[in-house]
Amino acid sequence: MEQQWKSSIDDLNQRRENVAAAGGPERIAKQHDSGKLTARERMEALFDDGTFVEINDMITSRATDFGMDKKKRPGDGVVTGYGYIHGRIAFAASQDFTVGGGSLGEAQAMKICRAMDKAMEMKAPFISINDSGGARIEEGIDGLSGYADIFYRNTIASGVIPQISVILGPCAGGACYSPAITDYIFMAEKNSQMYITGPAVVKSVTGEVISSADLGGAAVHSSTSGVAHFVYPDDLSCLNGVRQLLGYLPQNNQDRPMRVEGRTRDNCAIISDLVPVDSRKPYDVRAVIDTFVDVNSFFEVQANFAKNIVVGFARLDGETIGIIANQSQCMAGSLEINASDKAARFIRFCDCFNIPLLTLVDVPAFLPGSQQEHGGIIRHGAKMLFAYSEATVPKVGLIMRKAYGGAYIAMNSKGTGADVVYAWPIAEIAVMGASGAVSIIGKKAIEQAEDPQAKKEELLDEYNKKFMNPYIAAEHGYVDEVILPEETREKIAAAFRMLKSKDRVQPAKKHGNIPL
Amino acid sequence: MELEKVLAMAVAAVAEENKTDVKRVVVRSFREVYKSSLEEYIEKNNITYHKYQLEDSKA
Repeated sequence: MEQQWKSSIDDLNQRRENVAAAGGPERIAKQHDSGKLTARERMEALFDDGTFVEINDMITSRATDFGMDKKKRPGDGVVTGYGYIHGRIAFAASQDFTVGGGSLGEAQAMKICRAMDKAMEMKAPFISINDSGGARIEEGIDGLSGYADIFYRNTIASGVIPQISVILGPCAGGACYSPAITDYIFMAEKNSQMYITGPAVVKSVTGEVISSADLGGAAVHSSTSGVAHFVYPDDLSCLNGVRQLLGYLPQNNQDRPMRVEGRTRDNCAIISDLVPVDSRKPYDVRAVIDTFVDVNSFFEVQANFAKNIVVGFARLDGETIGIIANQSQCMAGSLEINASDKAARFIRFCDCFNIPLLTLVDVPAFLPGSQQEHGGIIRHGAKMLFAYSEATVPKVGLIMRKAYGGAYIAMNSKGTGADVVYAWPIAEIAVMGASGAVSIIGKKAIEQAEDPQAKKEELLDEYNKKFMNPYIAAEHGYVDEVILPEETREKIAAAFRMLKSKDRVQPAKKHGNIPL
Repeated sequence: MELEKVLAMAVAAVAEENKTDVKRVVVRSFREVYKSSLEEYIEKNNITYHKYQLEDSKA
């Protein structure tokens, strides 16, 4: 080998070592001591073994102010590239906290944007792993503007490719808005924080003293704010969660989710034991879901937020479906502001990515009260109606028990475009429950009766017989078929098979105006 | 393990896979593949880890 070759190769190897060294052994040890992986280790955990390819590893900052010329490191605090997840290509950016605290400057933003652009060109999912102190102050407006470039791309890519954010460290200030625009946010229990203003600023501005975790930790965002969709104990389990989620999704909006042949099971015979006929008695709707979807295939989204509605992905005969179900164990399954937001966003995601929808209805009402009215339940509830009505994917519904009033209409009713609606024989489809209805329509008759209690019971009996069943809805075409509980899997699977080639075209428009 | 032994085993494996004689396998170049940083971290911290595969949802 010529000497020139050898010295050039040695030089490249030295540069590669320099890139791989990231922020150096001390900072890497500190990262590990706090229970966090490094940016490259996270990429290794995210992608199929040996498939990650790093791009633009030597890009560095051009900034020189405030001593930046002495601080610059190759890679500029982010690792970007592509690899394969379940054999399908995906792109990712992983901020490197060991290099300048993962702070975002012009070069880092450019690297992330390039990876996003490639994901869009290849029509492949993009995963952003966030672990950063925020904008790099030394770079001034250039760093700040980098966020705008990312937000813009997030928005343009929305509904075209699945975008997933994984928060595995701090994510503060404007940086929060990239994850917020993406489809799903994953957080780790210990080390993830998201907030627009941190505890120190909160204290100085409002006087409120609050810890980082209480302000924007994983527990808060998964249960109270609804910002996070999935929470896992640590980095490795979190990245496994991303792998699991991607197994349900297509590569892009022109693609269909891949078929994953699993173990099918029809356990619908136990449904009549799980679901009490008395519509005031609760049960876990997730147990009902498990009776008919492919074994272990139900993957719940936002499990700890707005528990009165359950949403998630599952497979039926190997095909991905999205499920929306009222959960009678929480607020009797009524719809309120958070449940409406949660369901509407999930419905829209499924519609974006060609995932058929199954709606399981057991809903007494929209939750009444001034808190809900003043909080804007009209505006929020309208999101569900809008989302169901605009969705063109196959939409199958099953009315399990209660389906009352406006909440029934909002849960994929025939009039909002449901393709097939089934009902069990215990279903009660009415404007409202018997007690409330009788107290309104029978008020005078009860007051004037010699025995008001007897009159009330007589009217209740009449109302129950007339309205608290699925047959009038079936006679009027709002229910397509009343089915036995043991027929549930067979009927739902058949409906989705029939709807596979559904092609409903909406009128041309720029975009609808969903009530946000 | 000594480098020569590792190389000999690799050559034998390649020969077997290609159903040929070991003498016909020529080593032009080789490089050592080290454990990845993630593998080392998992081993050092005794972490039980299994990368999620689609097959796991079929169990």
